[in-house]
Amino acid sequence: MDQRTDNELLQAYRAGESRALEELIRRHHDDLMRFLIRLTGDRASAEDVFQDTFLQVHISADAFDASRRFKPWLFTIAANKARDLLRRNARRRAFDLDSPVSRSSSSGDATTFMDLMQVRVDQPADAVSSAERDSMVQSVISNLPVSLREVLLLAYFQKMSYNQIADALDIPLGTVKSRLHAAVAAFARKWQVISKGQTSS
Amino acid sequence: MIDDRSNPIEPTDKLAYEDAEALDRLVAADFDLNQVESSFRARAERLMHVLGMLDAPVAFASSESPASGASTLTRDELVDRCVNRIREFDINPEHVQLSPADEDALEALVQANMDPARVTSGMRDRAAHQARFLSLLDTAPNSRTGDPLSESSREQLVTRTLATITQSIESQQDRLRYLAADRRRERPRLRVGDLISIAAVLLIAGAVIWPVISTVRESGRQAACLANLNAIAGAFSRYANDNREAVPMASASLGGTPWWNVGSRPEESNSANLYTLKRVKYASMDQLACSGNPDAVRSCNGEAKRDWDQFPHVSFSFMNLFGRTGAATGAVWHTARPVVLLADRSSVVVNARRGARFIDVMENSPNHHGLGQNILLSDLSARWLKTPMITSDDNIWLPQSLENAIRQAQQMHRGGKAQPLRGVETPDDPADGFVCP
Repeated sequence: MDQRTDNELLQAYRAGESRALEELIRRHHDDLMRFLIRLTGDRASAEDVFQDTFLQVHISADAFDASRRFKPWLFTIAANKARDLLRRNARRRAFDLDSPVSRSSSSGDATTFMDLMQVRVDQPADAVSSAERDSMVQSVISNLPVSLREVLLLAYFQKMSYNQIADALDIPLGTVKSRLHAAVAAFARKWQVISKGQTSS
Repeated sequence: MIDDRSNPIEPTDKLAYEDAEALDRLVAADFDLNQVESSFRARAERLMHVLGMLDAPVAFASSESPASGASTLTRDELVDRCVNRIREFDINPEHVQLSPADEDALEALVQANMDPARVTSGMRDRAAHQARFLSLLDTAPNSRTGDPLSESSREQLVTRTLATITQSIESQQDRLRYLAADRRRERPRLRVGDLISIAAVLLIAGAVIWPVISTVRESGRQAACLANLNAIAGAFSRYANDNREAVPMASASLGGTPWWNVGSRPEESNSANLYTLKRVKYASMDQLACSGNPDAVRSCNGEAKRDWDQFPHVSFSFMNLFGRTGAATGAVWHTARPVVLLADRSSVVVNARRGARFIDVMENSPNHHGLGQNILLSDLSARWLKTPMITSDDNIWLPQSLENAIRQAQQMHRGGKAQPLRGVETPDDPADGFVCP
């Protein structure tokens, strides 16, 4: 295993060491794929975006500001690539009434305030396998609009600050805040529904 | 198991005020509970519980992927794919761009005819580097691989290539004509930028290909010319069989007037002798034309003609028959050494007729860029001769007596300059090689 930091590896890649990028790809595979599967909702899309992301890293390697951290930059690229893909897919499915986007847009104005103190957050029963739990989480996330999904995942997994997210996704700071709030509220609500269904079944 | 449709997520879901505050603090603390103010910690903790669900492990290389039934890649496969995509991207010419500095230098280099010395000093180093790089294009593929093409396949390739180029040029010309006609009716469809790009491509391709094509074309011409001489050899042979060994002769001529008076008086012109082969149908006009002569005439517009119309139309110089009778010409078949019957047109005569004050007797025929000339000998063999000397003491452009005189004046060895011919010289004997129009 290469002991160099991400930034050192990217520096080496810029200097012509092609193996360095491979090491970076290997090193971030698990984190990035988890992020992308959660964000895109399916593995095949995640793999596509994963490749697009590192291709972009290769193309933009020279433009990377070495004084910044590599990982947030990587996830920013990945989030934007995923967004492109989801936008393309959404266009293709514009008339698909089953898609979460069209469902949510057809709903009313009623606003639901979530108070987390009222949300049961018990872990699902032990009987629930990790594969089932994985599928539950994915179904919850897949029901969030992409705009909320990306903010939630960047904040939670990448520990990005509001400022960083605003920068990465090129949206106003206030919007980042309100989207994260909405994302967590929606996630909690959906989780509540699902875990109830799970335990009662 | 889960019915997504029964509980659609409303985008208007909102956190309670306290939760929102706690969430903001969690984000600021990088989701580290200990860093959150104690008054918000209970809410923050609950938030962490909810969000902790996101930590559910994702199965990486399993085919039971959660949301898609598609087959999935292992980590190594995915890494390989990434690396391959980057490689493919890098070799795709659409994705390669010159740096602005290199673009400027290349433009300057092209304007300087690829000569870096003529590029302004600021860009010269860069341009020189590019020129060195571009010179890789000059590398001959054969010499590098050490695997030369066989002669026959090379000839086939040359023939096919030339045919393709000719066709393409013709169809281009047709298209240009069509476009030109079209343009008068409509606005041009190409923008200036397009035209510049096309011009640049043509310019670069032309610069690379032109020297190759011109070399190939010249060797093609030499080969075609040699083939004509071989065909004419057959004509001489048939003519001799039918005419008691005589070589073609228009009319017996004793000389005294310049034998280069092509066209005007056939009885005075040596080319009329050669034209006899055409007149009595032993050879065609096409066979008597060398493609290295831009003025060559390949078709005849009168059956009764006895000579070419003008001096420049004559491609080959024929053995000078002045001072001989028809029967005497048969001696050329019986000389100890073969005599030159025919050669690419004589540079010495061309220059003399042009009025040059001195002539270079060692100058090769103008038909093949001065590289040499094809000759046909009286043993009916045809070959390529790199200098006008068929033996060490016989120059095919001159009669022996003149050669001797020049040699005596020791001028042959000092650049070979001599007084021009006057057009009335005749060969000394049947074995003397001396060709003229």
